[in-house]
Amino acid sequence: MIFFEIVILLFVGITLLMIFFMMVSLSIKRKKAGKFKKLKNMADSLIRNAIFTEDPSEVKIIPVSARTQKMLLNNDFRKIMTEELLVAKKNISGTAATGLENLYEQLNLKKYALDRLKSSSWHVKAKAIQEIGIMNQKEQIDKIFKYTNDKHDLVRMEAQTTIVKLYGFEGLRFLDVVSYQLSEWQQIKLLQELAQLHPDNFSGIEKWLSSSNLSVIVFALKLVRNYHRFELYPHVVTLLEHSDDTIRFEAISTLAKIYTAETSGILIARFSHENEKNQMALVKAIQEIGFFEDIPSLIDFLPESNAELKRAIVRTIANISPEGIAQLEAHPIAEQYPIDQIIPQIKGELK
Amino acid sequence: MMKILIAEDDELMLKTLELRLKKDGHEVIATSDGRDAITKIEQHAPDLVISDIMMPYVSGLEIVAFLAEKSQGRKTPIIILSGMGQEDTVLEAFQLGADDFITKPFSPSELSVRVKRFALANL
Repeated sequence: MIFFEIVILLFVGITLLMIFFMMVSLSIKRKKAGKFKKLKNMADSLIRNAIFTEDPSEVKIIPVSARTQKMLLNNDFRKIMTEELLVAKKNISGTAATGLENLYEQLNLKKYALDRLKSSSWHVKAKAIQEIGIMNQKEQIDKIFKYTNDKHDLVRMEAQTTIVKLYGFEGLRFLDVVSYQLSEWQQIKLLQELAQLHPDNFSGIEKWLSSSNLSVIVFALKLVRNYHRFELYPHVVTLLEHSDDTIRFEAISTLAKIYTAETSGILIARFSHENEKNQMALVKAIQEIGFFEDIPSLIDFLPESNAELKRAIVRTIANISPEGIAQLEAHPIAEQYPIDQIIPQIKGELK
Repeated sequence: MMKILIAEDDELMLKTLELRLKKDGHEVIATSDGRDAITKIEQHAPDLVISDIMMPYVSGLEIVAFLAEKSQGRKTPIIILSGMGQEDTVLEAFQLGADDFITKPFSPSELSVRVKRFALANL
């Protein structure tokens, strides 16, 4: 009997203790949420003041009160203020965005971002770099530039993107010194950043085409074709002889965009030296830039090619000239399998 | 002056747009969730709706579809606020019946000018 009483007392005691802890924890959570909301409201009010102007062409500089300055010593407030500013800057442009940059300057938040750059944690460093870029802190280039060749890939990527965001095509100077490979994803991000800017005949590509970093050459070739830098045509042609398969592949794709009357002949001459992937790229490039005179050479490539390449070659022959298929049909190979099957299929595509 | 409903889940953005449009002399009804936006559209019958695409419970696209479905004769115009890289969603919004869109980041003054255009058409 006594045993049961002890068990029940223990159970009640534990339950009461649990309820007490739950209430204390809920109260702390509520207090924290209330404090967060209060700080967020303060930050939002400052931001609204900075954004809102009577005259849309006027950039506003709002006075920062002593109370706000004091509040900035509070880590939580500073963190919330920075985050709210970054979210607002991502959503707003024009004079209102300049107002946000001014507020960031006035609150001297860049000082804290620069402090975080020294952090040993990569994610803190990467976030600080991103913050500096979003808030358009151009004068911080010296402090960011060294991270464009940082050993941590995410810090490096963030720094490279930020430099390009701040300085546009001039920012690509980091390609002169970067020793780590630029990933495919990073190249896409950089090109995306550049797509929003006017190219203004930027310089440096010639040097990057001769870089010892293979990914820099690949990226430079993408720049050549995206911005139609015809003056670099001879450099791109020499890259057809490069020892790296990917570079030769990119050079072929680039020549399809900046070609001359001789380009298809140059590409045809490369065919037998290339692997299957690059042969496919060559055939696709010739489809864009080839001439009727190229058809006999293309027909000669058919016996040695695999099925997929055969189909691509026949498609190219058909697209180069309206008489292309007729010329192929007049050749004895047209009666051989699988060419005899491919020809009607390609004819069907052309209808 | 128009009666405008703004649906935007980012509170700061919502307040900023509300302030801008009130300053322009419009009556503004603001909400930060899609479900509430639909209730308020039915309650207040706004002249123009401005809605973000990504919102809790009911998305901006569903609001566009709701307005198209409920319209009998004259449909309430709707401006969609979209993020960068949401081209496909914007296209879908137009197919559902959206009247205009603004890509973030945008200037509140730009929105103000676009709203004026709808106000003129509303006269």
